Amino acid sequence: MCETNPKQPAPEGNADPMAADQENSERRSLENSEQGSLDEAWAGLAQLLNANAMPLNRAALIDAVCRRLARRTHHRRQVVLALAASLLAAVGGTWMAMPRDDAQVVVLPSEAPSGKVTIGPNVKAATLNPAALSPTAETSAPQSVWNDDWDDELALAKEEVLVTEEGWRQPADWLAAVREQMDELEAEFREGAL
Amino acid sequence: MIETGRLARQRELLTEWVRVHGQAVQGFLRALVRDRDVAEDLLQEVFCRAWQARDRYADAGKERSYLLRIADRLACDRARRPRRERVLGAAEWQRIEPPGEEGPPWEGLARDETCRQLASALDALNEPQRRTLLLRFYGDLEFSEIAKALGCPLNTVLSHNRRGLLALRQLLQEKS
Repeated sequence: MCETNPKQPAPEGNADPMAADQENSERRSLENSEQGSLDEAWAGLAQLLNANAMPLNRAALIDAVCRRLARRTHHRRQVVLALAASLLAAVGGTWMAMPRDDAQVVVLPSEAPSGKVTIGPNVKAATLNPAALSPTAETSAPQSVWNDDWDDELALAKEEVLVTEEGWRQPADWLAAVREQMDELEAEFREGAL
Repeated sequence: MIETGRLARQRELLTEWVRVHGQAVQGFLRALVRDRDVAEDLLQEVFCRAWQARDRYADAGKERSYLLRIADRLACDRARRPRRERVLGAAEWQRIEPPGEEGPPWEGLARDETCRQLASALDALNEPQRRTLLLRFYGDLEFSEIAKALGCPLNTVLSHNRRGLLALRQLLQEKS
């Protein structure tokens, strides 16, 4: 019995054109019938899917999506603000704890009764009498050692102190830098959301 | 003012996406997850994700393909995630949210019947076959795009398509 490999083409000398034609037409009809059955199955599936299509409430969907997005944006902002607040607290704490070698303690004679103490590096207080700094100077005789020319200098010094203090309490540059960092954080957060 | 205009344009884009592709994405998700509430949740999530990543959306003009790819990924992620939610029965669910006026009862019966038929048809397919056929039906995607979305070679997708359709054909023959 002679076995032939169906995948191997028949030798050209023995080729039977009639048999080859028949084989081709059989293969074609097989392919056509398979394609037909696949098309039929596809049509059946499409019919079922179309029959099951539910109406979509587009307005409700858009509202829901917008609400969801707003909620996420709000949450992201809160996270960023919390991060910024903790950053500020940490930096502020560090700044407060920093040692200052050039700090001076100045008791302003005009405000001495209230006991106000101002600390700062840029205060012009060199002209103050050291005696005024002593605790007993408040009640002893401040008028006797006071020079009237010092009033202007004192006013200038007070102004500078106020400006410096305000600068410490509202560090605009630092706030701007933090705000920029917050914006960057938010942008990164938004980009990495998906 | 510029910001408001930009937001309005973006909202218009979102509205346009929902108007044109909402129905297809909804059908895809319902057929894939086969749970109405989960599908609704995923549908909202698809548009949220798509909107959030709109700047990175490069394939201009292929929005449906883009949305269906997100939907497919979300559905797969959800299927892989361990279930934490409690599944409510129909009676319990109706107690919480009573059904609205949805037409006469025979329409509901007919819908239930087609729903059952669709469920049995989809049950005849395995997951890759189901995803392939649904992406092809709802997105009208090329096989190469489906291969990209599923992350498998083109020939594998063609094979999924053919085998899925043959399985459906067999099911239809059995029914008839």
